[in-house]
Amino acid sequence: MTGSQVYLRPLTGDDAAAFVPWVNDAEVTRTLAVGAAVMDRQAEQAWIEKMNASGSDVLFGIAIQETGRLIGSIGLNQIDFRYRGASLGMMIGEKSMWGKGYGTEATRLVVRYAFEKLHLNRVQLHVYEYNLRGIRVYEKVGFRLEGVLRQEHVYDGRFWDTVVMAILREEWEKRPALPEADPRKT
Amino acid sequence: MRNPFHIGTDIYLRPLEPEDVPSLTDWTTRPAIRTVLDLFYRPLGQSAADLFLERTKNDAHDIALGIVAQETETMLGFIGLNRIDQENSHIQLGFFLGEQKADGERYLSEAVGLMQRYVFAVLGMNRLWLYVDAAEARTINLLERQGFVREATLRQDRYLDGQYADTVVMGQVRGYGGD
Ligand SMILES: CC(C)(COP(=O)(O)OP(=O)(O)OC[C@H]1O[C@@H](n2cnc3c(N)ncnc32)[C@H](O)[C@@H]1OP(=O)(O)O)[C@@H](O)C(=O)NCCC(=O)NCCS
Repeated sequence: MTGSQVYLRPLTGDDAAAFVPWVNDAEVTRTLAVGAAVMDRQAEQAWIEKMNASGSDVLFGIAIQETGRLIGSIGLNQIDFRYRGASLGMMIGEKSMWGKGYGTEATRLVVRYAFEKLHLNRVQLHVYEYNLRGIRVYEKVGFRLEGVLRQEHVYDGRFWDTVVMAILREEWEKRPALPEADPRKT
Repeated sequence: MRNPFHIGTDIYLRPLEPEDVPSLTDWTTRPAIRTVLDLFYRPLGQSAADLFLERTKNDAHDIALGIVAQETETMLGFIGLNRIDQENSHIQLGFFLGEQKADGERYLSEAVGLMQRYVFAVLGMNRLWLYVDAAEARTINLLERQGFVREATLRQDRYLDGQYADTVVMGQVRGYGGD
């Protein structure tokens, strides 16, 4: 799947090495549901292979159009074909690549994939209350706030709320046309 | 009372036993209860009941208890916990009443209250939560009276009988009433 800035590609076990520094970077994992476990290359490889073999998950690498550089991953989990729903998860591991619109574009691509290819009806996600960047990205794509799970997450020695957001197929179909190219990126 | 685990005023909660399989099988194959449980959209017969019995064995925090009337020693329904998250200190609650009786709500409130005390005071959890069908206003009210808050509404989250249904997430946090 190809956007204007990034494209999504399958990941293989060989990509695991790139993920190891990312998933052990406290600034990256701060907003992820990865838990306290230390991840090594083998664990990452096992995770990628498990996702690829799974009938209820899809995982893509996020790569930059121009250079082909892998900067993170995005995927759908708990895909339920009976209810036609799934959960979205994303990580841009290269911190220098944050704030350039890549996350927003990757999210749009995966949401389109969910509705058009998987024929789902609902894509939901959990995002921690302090992940304002993440919340902004999902709002931009058209996700709506469904509620706040109080004290659902522990980080840095205290409890934080988890925000639940979702986009329905009917909302995505009615989405406004995308704005013209962002001037920051030209 | 036989093997009580938690004792209330009119009911008590006890571990499920192989003798309970016939009533569990009867309940879990009824359409109304199958819908609540979600798991049982496939015809499962006795294996659904076996699943309940197995749960407790596989994980110390996967708990399934029978709700039993003290006076008559009849099992009225089931209440349980699963999906413990130790790191984030929360756990999920689930229940159903097999028999729709006039006293059902009172018994259910009592059972929920016993589990709330167990989750906060014994397991030391910080948060207890559950999913409820958004159309189940009575259950939502009952839980609100027990100190739960309606935290989120998951739109078109399930597909039942040819249409989408919303799911409500109810949550209770330690120190915020009810515990
Ligand atoms: C969250 C993440 C995927 C976002 O991707 P990204 O490429 O950095 O995001 P984008 O550049 O597309 O968009 C970021 C938006 O957030 C805004 N933003 C950035 N910091 C913000 C802040 N502190 N408060 C509010 N908005 C903020 C930006 O201004 C931009 O919005 P705009 O286009 O309206 O200006 C990425 O930062 C990441 O991987 N973080 C770590 C892991 C993670 O949090 N994953 C998501 C878990 S739910």
